[in-house]
Amino acid sequence: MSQTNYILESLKTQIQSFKGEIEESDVGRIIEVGDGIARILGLSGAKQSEMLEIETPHGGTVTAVVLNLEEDTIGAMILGDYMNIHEGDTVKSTGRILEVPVGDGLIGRVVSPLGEALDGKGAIVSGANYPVEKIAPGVITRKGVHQPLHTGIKAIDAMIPVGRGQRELIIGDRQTGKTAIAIDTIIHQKHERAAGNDILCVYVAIGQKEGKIAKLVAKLQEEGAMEYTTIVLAGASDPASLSYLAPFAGCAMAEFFMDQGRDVLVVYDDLSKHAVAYRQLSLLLRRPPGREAYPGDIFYLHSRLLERAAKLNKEHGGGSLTAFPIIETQAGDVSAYIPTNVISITDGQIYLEADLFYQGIRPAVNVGLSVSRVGSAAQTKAMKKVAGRLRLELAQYRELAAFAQFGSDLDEATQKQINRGARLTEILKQGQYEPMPFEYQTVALYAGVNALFDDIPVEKIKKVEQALHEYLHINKRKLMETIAKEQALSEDSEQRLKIAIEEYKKTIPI
Amino acid sequence: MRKQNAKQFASALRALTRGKKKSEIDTIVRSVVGRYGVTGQMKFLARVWHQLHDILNSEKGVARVAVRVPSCDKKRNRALTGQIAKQVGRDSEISITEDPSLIAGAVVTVGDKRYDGSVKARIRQLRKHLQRN
Repeated sequence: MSQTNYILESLKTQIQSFKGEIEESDVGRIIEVGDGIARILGLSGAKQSEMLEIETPHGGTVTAVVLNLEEDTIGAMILGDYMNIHEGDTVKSTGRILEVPVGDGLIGRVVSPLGEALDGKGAIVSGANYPVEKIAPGVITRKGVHQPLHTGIKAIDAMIPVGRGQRELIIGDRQTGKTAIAIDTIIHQKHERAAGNDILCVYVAIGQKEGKIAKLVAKLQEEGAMEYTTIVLAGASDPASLSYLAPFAGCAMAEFFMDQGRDVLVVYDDLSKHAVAYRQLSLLLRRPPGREAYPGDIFYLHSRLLERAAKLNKEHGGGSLTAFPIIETQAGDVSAYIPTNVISITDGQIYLEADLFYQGIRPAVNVGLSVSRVGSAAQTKAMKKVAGRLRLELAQYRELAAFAQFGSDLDEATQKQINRGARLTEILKQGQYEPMPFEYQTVALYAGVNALFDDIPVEKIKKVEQALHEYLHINKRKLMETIAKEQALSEDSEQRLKIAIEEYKKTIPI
Repeated sequence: MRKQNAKQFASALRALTRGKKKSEIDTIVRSVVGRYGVTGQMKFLARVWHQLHDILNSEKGVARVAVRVPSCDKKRNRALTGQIAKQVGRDSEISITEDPSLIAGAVVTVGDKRYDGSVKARIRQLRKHLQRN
């Protein structure tokens, strides 16, 4: 009884302390609505990107965002179901610029671009809101990219190293493994976190099939990656307005963590669909179409998003936001409009080729066309040591590969180069969902570039590499821990590693 | 494709009819309605009419006021209209509609501004107050 009385007393106090006031608000009227866009008359004080509330006849409200400010009307994009909105409905201004909930409550959740829970685990508990559109950090607040962000993928960590705060584009045709690279990177951060690198991940799915995302979430849960990952989903069945907002919302959620001094990885999958959604909205808003019917500010759409990736200096918390935008090309055409735009914005690209994929080279990274403009500044000393010659060896191999069919007519040096290149290519192959810690990558590549695998048949390289890792993990754990801790291959470590590999080779029949 | 919007068209029409006799205005209006009615642009004409109404009201200094009340009690509405006209401070065109969902009180919209003094709004505010605390 006493508890009931307490509740009643508490309610009474709350009600008595309540002072209702006359609500004053700016209102307008819908004069045209369709395809997710509403034209509104009135609301002369509305601001760009301001949130509006449309009052439907059934008593509900639908949120809209101001996109066009014209002489006497406003063009607003409707964030939600526009089927119940009619001409003549009242629109109220909220005075708030578009913002999303941010905070630790989003970690491990699947949310919409408006921060609503989609995973059925209850409402999102968030203490703060961040604006969806924000000016990128200035020059003075930044620091140069110098810390590596390990993807766990040998081909990338060795030759296209990514740093924290970098923008590295993943580009290729459909079904070439773009999302796989991003997911493997996310899964690998579990190992990085165990090693003391607290990296959070945000995966923004734009226009993706919901079944594909469900599978992805299940895989991340299985690998334990959902503990540090947030998924922002604007599915294929969602309106274009949500697809347009999703990357900005994901970036805002990540910026909250960056401002706290933490490191975040954001994957935008994919910006091609984002550009298409923006094109649809712009055409419906009657903005003049440009090349390929994209609006004139399509470059600015992506540049202002990607510019928000940064490594902050110590005075501003030292956090970082690393961006992995994904672009899908058609028939390998990297000179198309949107791909060239994004290539010019990012700090490098990982180019995936369908031909390599079908040849069995997976990840299908074209090492020749891929680049990281940050380069070895974002690489551990150990990896720098072994990867330095790797690119050159592979480049020489590619040039000579055409002559491989004339195997018996080649001189010894050429034959040796071809053999070495074939083995290095084999070493760089890696299974999906099998990211590798950098110390084990170092071991594999060290053996490859220093001719320690030259006497092993190419078809046995993968098995031998795997067995070598197991051997070192069991018998030379201290050595591996030393390499992992120092992040370098000292002379002593190198000597011990060489001896260990030779010892192991004696135990296997070659 | 029409290049002018409704507001521009209404301004042009107002400029055209300013200072004209009633018979001349009738001829102009009949010809505009006839032309746009034939080409199926009644919706556009409705917007032009709305804009013209606003132009004329603003020239005369007349405010357009929309009032929603829970029930249409003539005596009470007359008193309410008088009060609103006094508050607005200038000539006003007041329209009153019934909205039982308000429960009590009234919602007054003057131009772009809405003043909601209904019980429905108070209940909404109370709900937010209880949720916050």
